[in-house]
Amino acid sequence: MIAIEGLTKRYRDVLALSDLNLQIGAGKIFGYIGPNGAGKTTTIRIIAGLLRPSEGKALIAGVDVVSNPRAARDVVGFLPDSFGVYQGMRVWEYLDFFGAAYRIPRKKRQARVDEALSHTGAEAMRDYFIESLSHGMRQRVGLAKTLLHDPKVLLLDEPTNGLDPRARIEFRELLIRLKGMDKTLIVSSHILPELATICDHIGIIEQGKLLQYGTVQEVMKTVQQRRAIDIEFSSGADAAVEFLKSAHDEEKLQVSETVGELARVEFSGGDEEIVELLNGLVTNGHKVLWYSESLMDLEQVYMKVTQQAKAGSRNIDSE
Amino acid sequence: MLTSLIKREMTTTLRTQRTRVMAFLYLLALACVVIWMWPDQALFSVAAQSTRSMVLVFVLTLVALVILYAPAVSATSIVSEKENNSYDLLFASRLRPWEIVAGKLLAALLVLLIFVIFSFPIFVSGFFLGAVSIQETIRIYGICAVTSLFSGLIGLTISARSRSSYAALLRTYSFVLLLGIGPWIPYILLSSSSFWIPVVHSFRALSPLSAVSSLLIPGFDPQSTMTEIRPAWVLYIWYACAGSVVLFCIVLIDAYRMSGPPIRKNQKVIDDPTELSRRRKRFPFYLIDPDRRKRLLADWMNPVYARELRSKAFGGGIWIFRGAYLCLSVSIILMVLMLGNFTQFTPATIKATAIGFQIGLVMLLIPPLTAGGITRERELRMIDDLRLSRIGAWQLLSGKLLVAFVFVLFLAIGSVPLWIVIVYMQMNTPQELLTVGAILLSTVLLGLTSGLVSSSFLRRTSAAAAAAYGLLCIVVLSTLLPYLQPEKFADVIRSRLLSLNPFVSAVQVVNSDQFNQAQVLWRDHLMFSLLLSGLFFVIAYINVRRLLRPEN
Repeated sequence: MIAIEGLTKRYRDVLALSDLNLQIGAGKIFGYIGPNGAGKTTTIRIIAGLLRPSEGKALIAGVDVVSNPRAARDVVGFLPDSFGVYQGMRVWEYLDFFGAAYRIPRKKRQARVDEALSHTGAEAMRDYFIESLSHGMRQRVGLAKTLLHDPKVLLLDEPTNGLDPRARIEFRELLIRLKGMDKTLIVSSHILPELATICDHIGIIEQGKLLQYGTVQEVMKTVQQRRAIDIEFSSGADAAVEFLKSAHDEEKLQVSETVGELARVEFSGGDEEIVELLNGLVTNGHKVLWYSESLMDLEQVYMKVTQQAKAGSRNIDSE
Repeated sequence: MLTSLIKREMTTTLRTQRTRVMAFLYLLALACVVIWMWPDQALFSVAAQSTRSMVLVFVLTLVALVILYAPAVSATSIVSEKENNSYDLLFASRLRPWEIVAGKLLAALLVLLIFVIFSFPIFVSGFFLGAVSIQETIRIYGICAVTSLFSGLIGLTISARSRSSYAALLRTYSFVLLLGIGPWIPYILLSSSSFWIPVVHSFRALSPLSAVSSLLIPGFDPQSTMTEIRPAWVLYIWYACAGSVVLFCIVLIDAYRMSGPPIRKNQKVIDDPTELSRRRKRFPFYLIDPDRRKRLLADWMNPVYARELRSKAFGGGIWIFRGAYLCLSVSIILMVLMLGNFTQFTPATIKATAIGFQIGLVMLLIPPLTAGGITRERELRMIDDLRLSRIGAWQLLSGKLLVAFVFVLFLAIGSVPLWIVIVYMQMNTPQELLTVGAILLSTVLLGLTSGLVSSSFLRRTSAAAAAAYGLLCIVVLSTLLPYLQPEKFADVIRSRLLSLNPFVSAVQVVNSDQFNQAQVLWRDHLMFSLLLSGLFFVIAYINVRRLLRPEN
């Protein structure tokens, strides 16, 4: 559905986006993560046909947005992080205006407005003056406006910014519903846990470069080179730790800490090797009470990736 | 505390490109006046008429520019804080309300005064010709300073009471320009009666232009045997100082009110959105009830036009009705004065007044109608939405222009009584009246397109409104120069320039004995107006087309 090749954007001396390559399938949600000024909004604005890239191609449903931005408008819906509203208009009037602006014939427009309001759960707001709505409701109306022309691809830039927890959860459910309608979504957000639960793929961008790309699990595995294992013993944790250290070299296994009878171990190896490790402990008389492997969450992954990128750029600077 | 606010205001105002452009245009305008008016013989004589005229035109331009620039600086100073949600932050700081008001005022004044001081090097050229004395110079700059203070305070007071910078600008410009021109109307109408002279003279002194004229034109102030008549410039300084004190108190009270808890009438809080929506439907909107407006936009209809009409006119823009109300009131007062035969009016005076009123109205109220056309879309952050939609530059501009025409119709209704008098008195043929109508219509079109072209170039509505007024002033006021300084122009150029002026062209049509030394002007005027309007529209179209394309 979305194919981006070598997308680069320069603002004079500043490289906002560098050689971005992405493939996003139809009906998927792609979570776009990165700090402020990393290049997320630049990417989204290029895909929406609002910004001309310096180099590269972006194909949306087969339409090249760079060479034919007008045609791309029919397949793309864009919800910016903050958007304005016209004062003194009711919600239905606002949607009616944008329906007419998208050249939706009057006969179909009423149904489209109703559908969009229903999908976004804003039916009750249709007769309210738009400026009187709360931020959360305004965001829903903004999304309804984005859905009016039935775009295949939705670009949502920080859609949950400023929403309260309940509104955020409701918005997340709304995105899942949209995915169910076979829409492809690109969602940029700072609130990573919510992306982790709804996204099929994520991309981490920093200083205009895509550092990681894949499913949430893939990215976590790539970033988390060593597996974090917690082993609790019924007694004799110190002896068990000594045994582990003697049985594996440091590159393979490191004990991060011991708290009471709990040993926290970083281990690089596959599932078979973990089985062997646990078997070794038991056969040598160490009483294993339980074992668990803790995966990094998306926030930890994000921090690690961006820290590595920063360290890399510092090294380059010092050289 | 106070200095920090002034410093911030000054820094943010003076470092903008807009201020530099404004300063450049301001100095350019003044320099052009001096170069153009510089006497050929360059006599060192106080009595030399040409040197005196030079100073007069220079100072009038200076004061007019101060009047034109004051709203752009002060009218948005408080309201922009409200729009940026930083007004509450100011009150949450340790600044006291009077410090906030004084800081805003001083910053706005300092900018204006810097502009006035900029003009001094150009002004001193008058000394070389012996055109002005030091005493006169002090008085002239005193009037400029007082005008800056008064205009700045008008802008500030309106800014404190407005919700959007657009409305604040519109109100301030209307008020300030009305103050500049309005006080002359009673004098024109009633000065033939010696009984009214002291009253209308005192009223005319409200205008800074009359203060300058009083200072530099001998015999400007009328003589009366009944009462002592003070020179207009003295009266003006009194008025402006008293007005400034009153306005300062008003804006201070407003600031103190805002700093405290909100004052609620009847202590009743309405937080039900349905109830709030219902209450918005007050007069005159219940006549065109938005609740009954359930029909979707027709496919043939320009959505921009319909949206502007819904959101601006009938969705909350009560000002347009107030404008029509004002026009009707002024028009009826003028009509009563004419028909009541309070003074010895000639038919020519009646018609010239009617035309002057109409053109003044166009100048005062028309440019802001379209000056926010594109800038408001930027300010509301709607440009991206428009870019993504199928709306093109033509649809956007024609929609804005059409809706502005609807508003003009409202204003035109207000001036109908005056024209009824003219038709009733059978003073002109229908063809002549239609010609005048065409001239007025072309001036409206020029005003609207000057607003559109300014709006397409600039980023802020305030700047666009100032530029639109500037453009219209150049066309309507500067083309009067051949009438004021005929010896400076060759006959052909004088005739050409006069034909560009809507007032002169229209008056020539209805009063064949006036401006009869020039050739028939209205044809040339219509052609010029329409061509210039067309040019403005084309430039605006090219700019908007570029704006709606993907950014680079």
